[in-house]
Amino acid sequence: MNMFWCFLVSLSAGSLLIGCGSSADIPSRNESLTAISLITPQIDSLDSDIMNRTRLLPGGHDLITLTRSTAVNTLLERITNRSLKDIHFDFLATRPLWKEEKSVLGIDFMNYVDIDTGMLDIDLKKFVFTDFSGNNIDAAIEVEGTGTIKASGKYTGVPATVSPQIHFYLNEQIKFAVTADSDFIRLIPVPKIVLLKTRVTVSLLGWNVPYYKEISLQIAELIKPVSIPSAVRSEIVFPIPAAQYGDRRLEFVRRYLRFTRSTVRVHNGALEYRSNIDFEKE
Amino acid sequence: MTQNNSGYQCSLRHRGPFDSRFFILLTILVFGSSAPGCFILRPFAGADVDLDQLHAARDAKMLLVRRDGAERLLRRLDVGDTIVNADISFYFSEALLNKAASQLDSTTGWLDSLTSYNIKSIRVVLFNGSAIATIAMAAYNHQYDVDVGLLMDCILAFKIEEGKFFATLEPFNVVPTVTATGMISSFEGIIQDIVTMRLSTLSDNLPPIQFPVDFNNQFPVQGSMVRVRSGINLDITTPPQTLKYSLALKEVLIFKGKLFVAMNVKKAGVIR
Repeated sequence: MNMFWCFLVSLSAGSLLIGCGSSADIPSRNESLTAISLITPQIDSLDSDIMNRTRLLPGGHDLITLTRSTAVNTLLERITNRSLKDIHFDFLATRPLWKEEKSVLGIDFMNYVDIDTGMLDIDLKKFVFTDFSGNNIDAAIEVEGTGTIKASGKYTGVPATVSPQIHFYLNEQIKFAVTADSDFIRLIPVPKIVLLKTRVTVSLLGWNVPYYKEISLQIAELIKPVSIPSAVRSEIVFPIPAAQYGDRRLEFVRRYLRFTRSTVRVHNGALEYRSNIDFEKE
Repeated sequence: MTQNNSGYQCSLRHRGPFDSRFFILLTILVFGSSAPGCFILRPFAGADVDLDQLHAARDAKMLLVRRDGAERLLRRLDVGDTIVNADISFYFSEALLNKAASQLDSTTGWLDSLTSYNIKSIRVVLFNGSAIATIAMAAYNHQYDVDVGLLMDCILAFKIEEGKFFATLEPFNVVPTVTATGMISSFEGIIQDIVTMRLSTLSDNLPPIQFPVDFNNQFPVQGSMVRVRSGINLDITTPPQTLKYSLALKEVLIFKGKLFVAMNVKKAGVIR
């Protein structure tokens, strides 16, 4: 019974061979050895040529990523070009923004302008990485925006409210320190005072107040450290064969990745991240 | 599974009264249909299998795959742009590939309700132009209580689908070095053709080797607030946002001991 069934299966399967590729006969040992002796020097020669062309490729860690500055700037460019506002200014009461004491015909009075309130959203005009060197990245940041605020004051004793124009401009070179943190590359702003140039143009009852101030800002307070993932996940779900027979051919197991010997450096205009990786069970 | 001078030696273990006959069935179940370029070493020819012959044939086929891959790689290096001309380049070591592949070690799957297989080990070697995984595995027919051990050489084909990077296993050498007698010999030709025809079924059953790389990525950018209380009273805030980007595969190249993957930035944006 079993022999018959076996034979039937074999014949049935054999009948399916029409149109299928045929299997290869095993070559004799001598044929194989001849092929090996012919191919081996060809491979050696090819390997040698390839090694000559690729000897500068990095190695020595499980994972190495090279991110070119142009790639980072491509990302940054798309961000700065979008329509969303990047920086929000909330004006609080400033009393006074400007004042001057006058005396006319023996009468003392004060001309002044207060800022009452106001809000302004402005775009990041430029943010590009300009130089990758050492373990630092130099960046150029440019911010510019104009808006109006609410102000009030008195001129020659006459009160008035106005909506003066305010203009901000910042154009500075800043620096980021680059460090590796497990599977992250951290960009840490190097502390530096930058100047936000501020001009308020107030015209109150014909009194023109030229207000200009360079506001000192600590860049490390304005820009927080950024952790960029190395594009390698900290966990992964591996497909493995389903241990039980059923509809599902595969099942999935979770593994956590442990990163060791992580380093990062700036090299040849690229950010080079290195790490060794081990898979750990849940 | 034992190991001799030239590699692994696979074995057929007879347990039941109809083992040799049922081996035909098992063979049909174990091996799939024709895979292009697949090279089946004919091991089912009875007791007179010459192991040296078998392993020499395997070595020769392996070298052929390596040579073809190296030739393709050299042509690429000669005519294409420089390989580092990509936004982001990844280099994965052979050791990492083996750590990923070894997640499949000692796993058991099923070819059908009666036939299970066990992956004993997968070892990947990266050559210039080719990645070859050697799978030591065993299939077991539960109805007839028959084991077949085999060694399978596979080319690793690297793919990215739905943001996941993985390697599929495409067998090109199957070396079940079995000794069989009796009626096996008379079915030799049919078995060989069936093995060829159904090899892709086995390939389909093997899970891909997945790499922990995420080509759709995002990271948060913290917001900030600075209080200015000199000259003008104002608060300057930058909102927290998430930077999102995806990468597109440019090319995958295989070098001795390392896998090179070049990617370009495909999309980038910000979400709040």
